[in-house]
Amino acid sequence: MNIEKKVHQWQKAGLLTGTQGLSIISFEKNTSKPYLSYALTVFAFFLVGLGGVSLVAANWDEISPVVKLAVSFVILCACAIATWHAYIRGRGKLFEGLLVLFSALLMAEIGLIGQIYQLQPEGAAPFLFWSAMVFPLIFFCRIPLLPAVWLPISSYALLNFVAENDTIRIFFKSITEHWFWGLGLLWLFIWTVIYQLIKIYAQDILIGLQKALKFWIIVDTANLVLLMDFWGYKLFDIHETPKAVFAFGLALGLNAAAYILGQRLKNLTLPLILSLLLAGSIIPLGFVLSLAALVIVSCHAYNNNRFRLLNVCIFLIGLRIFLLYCQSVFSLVGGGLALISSGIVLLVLIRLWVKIKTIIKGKMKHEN
Amino acid sequence: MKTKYALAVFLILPFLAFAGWIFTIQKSLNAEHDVVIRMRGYDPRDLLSGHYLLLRPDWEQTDCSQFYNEICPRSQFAASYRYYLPEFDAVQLDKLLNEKSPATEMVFAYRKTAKPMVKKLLIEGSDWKDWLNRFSKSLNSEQTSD
Repeated sequence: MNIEKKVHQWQKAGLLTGTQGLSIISFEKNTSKPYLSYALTVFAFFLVGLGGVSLVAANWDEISPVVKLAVSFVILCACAIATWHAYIRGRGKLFEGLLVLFSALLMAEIGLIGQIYQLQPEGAAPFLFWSAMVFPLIFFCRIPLLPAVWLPISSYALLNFVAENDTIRIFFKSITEHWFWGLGLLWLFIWTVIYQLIKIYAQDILIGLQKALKFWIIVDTANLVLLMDFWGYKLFDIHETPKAVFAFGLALGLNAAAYILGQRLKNLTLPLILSLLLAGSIIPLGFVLSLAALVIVSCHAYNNNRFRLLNVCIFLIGLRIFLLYCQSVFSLVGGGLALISSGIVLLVLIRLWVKIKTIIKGKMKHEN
Repeated sequence: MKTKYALAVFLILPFLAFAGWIFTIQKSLNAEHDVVIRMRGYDPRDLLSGHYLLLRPDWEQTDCSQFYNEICPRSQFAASYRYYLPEFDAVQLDKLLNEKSPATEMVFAYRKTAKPMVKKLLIEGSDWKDWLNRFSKSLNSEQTSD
């Protein structure tokens, strides 16, 4: 939001005096944080760390293994000391950046040891090792970059690790056999529960992780909605399988539990996942699923005065309807006519709604 | 104040983990004895994946007398092994292995009770680096004499 523009509008409307306007502008300028430079600094450290991983991957044979290990340990040690100093001196931006760099260097170190000793890959073990080492550092993150990278890596590693157990592997297999989206939704559910728990009990401590979880939940939900919408219906006929109904019931129950858990907070995520499950499992029409998700987001945006989000949702709803016509009406003439008639119907509905609203308002005034 | 020390501990922990890991690897490498296993390309068309050679044991051509009871413990070894190479040598070596098909072997640190660990890659009985240098030199001298 451009605060100067807004203040000018309010001054014109007589809501603020000139002095008040100037005070607001100067307050906003003094208290606003340089988010862009903050994010870019951390990102720059992330790039340096990635570069380090890439250099290690090149496998420099001219340097002896002992020297390679010693140099990498010295670099890692220097980074750790710098990170600690940045933390105790309260230099938040530098600290976050160095933490990202330190985590990337840890990954590079694992790769380096693996290369030097010619270790054979064992599933996602290196990633699990890295996740375990980085996990306590997540508690110190205030911005979500490191947690946002850590989350998918650790989830992938953990999923691989637990899938090594025969019983769990059979359980996962049976879920995906009978209900292709089950595993994705189960994972989404787990993330959502963790998100809710953090929001209730540890919002101040795990702020970075919470933001990262929010980001991934939104991305994954959108991803699942798209996949289930366009491919789910064609690929799997889940509606005739009794076991799918059981799996659906289980997931629904789990989501309801998560919903109750998050009830005390105004949160969009859980109802969205719930509706996604309902629509995706009961209504055999992918189009309805996307529409249901978009309508829920639109309602949330409207209730919270987030008009940009509302506009995006309305645009996406329009786009999805257009795609539906493309999917079902094969001729351009037919599609064009269907779109025109839909637009006219929509205009009529809006006109009717405005009229009804005016009548209701008039009646209410009359009663008062 | 407490968080300051907690951070210090969490920053030191990875070093301890790495040190412990390297110590375990070194201990495994000082195994009872080394064994040499004949290897062949997992897929001759694409021997190289990334910067490692993917090779599988060729038990028919391996000398089993180096094992206990002179029996090759096939089940103790994996179906295929990676051998990590420097980026600049990898492509050249891959090309040469495909063209010349020299005798390729891997040296493993072997113990009866643990997983064998890769130690070296031998090509025609020499360390792969020496073999590559020698081969490149002979190739260069052939080209100059022509």
